[in-house]
Amino acid sequence: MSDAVTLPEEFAALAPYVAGWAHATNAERLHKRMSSSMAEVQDFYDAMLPRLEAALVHLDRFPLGGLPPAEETLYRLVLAAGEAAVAVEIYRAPTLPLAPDASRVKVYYANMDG
Amino acid sequence: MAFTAAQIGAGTPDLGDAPLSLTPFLSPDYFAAEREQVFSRSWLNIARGCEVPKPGDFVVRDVEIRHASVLVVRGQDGEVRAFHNVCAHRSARIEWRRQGSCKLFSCPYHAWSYDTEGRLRGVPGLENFPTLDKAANGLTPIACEVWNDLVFINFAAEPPQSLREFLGGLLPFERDYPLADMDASATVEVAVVNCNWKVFLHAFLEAYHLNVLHGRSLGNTFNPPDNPQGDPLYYRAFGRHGCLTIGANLERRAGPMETLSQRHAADLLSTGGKARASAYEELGSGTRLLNPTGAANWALEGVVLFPNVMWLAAMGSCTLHKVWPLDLERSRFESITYYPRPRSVSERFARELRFALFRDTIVEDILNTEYSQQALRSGAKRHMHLQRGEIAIRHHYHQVDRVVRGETAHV
Ligand code: FES
Ligand SMILES: [Fe+2]
Repeated sequence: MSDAVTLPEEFAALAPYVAGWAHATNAERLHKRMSSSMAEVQDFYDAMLPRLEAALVHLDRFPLGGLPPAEETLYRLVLAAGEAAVAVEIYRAPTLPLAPDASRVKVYYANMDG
Repeated sequence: MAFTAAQIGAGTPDLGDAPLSLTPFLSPDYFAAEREQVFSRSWLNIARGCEVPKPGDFVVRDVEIRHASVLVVRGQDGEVRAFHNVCAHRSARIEWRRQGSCKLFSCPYHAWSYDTEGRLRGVPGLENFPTLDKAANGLTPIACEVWNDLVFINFAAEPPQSLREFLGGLLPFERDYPLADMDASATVEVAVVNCNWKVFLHAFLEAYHLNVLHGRSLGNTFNPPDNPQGDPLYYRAFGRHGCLTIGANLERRAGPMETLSQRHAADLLSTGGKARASAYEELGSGTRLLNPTGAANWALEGVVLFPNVMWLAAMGSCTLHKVWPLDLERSRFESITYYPRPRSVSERFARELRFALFRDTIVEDILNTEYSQQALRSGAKRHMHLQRGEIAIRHHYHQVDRVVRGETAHV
């Protein structure tokens, strides 16, 4: 429900991307990228790119690990932009040319989110 | 540019240019000898001290080639120890979680319990075991030593040498490259890679393939225009171990988001940006272990930790690629990248983008090595040909071979 989506006010234009892209883990972000078309990844990337620096400046005012809910949502979009950037700037494709099935690869983090 | 003798450190054996036999990748007897000579008598990196920061913290790790489940636990006395995760009663697996914290380990079968220092504490119905010697039936210890916050184990009842003797010339890395404050991590794990463990490890021991197999992802990252084949800047052997110095292409043009990431964090793929510049400055010129030639484009030292680890020591991050043999033609892969804990969202964003790229380059190595194993098995070729810049592979191949042949069991 888009009504439930809250983002910091100046980033409200990103609301349409929250449901698809605002995930908590690298594995979910990777899955979203791999299961999207290039047009979808490009569209998300294009929406994030002009706002990314401002988003980082805004979020850097809060401690990592202690973000208010709206900022947490924006933070997740920012991390997803990092994933989308690899598809757009490096591979020009959502998936890798020489890769095995993505389910064979597990990714997990420790102490990364404050 | 060619890789020449001037780029090889003193103490590195001259191993010539002969083609290599494929037997070590295909022979069941060779694999059996690796189990007995290499993996049963070498120090193996199994965990980080920071994974078990407090008394009672533990991790459980498999070493399949030894059929072992290894329990690494910090005792109430603060010491890190390793044990076989096996109950003295009827050999059940005691701890089934991958990590956790406790005061007592309780066997899920009949509830025998053990303390964090390995002593057998509780036996339900003890009166029915009239001959049981509790003191002699604690957890079976595995030799365990810690260096630079890396926990190593050795399956030999009496290891042929101490961990410090085994590491030898690598010991100053603890001073030059302390891991203690790098305790944030991102791990890539592949449960089964269908190739011999050395085939997969060797995929991380040269930069010759980066512009080709990883042309999209790493093209022009480590291969500057004057060094298109990715020749190492330097190579040094340290006993069984080796150290490969790799340079970056500082002329590489990154896309806009990647450029932004290079402002906020440096890592082994950095080809520019403020974060790399200040990390390079911090590195200084005082160490001969990191950046031994003082190259402005230094990217990383790739330390081949005998037998099964490639440790990439870079500015701002380091990676441990560990390849664990499952059987002759199957391996498990674990790649752990360590960072200082991110201090801000922008640093965290940079980590995310740069790790996503690194993760993808690792994934690109999987199918290639699996097809190579199939091809090795096909009998189409009798040998492989290594170029001089693939010296780290030749050295590793040779060191494994020496141990397998029983020439010497230690460094
Ligand atoms: S096997 Fe552990 S208590 Fe019986
Ligand atoms: Fe590779």
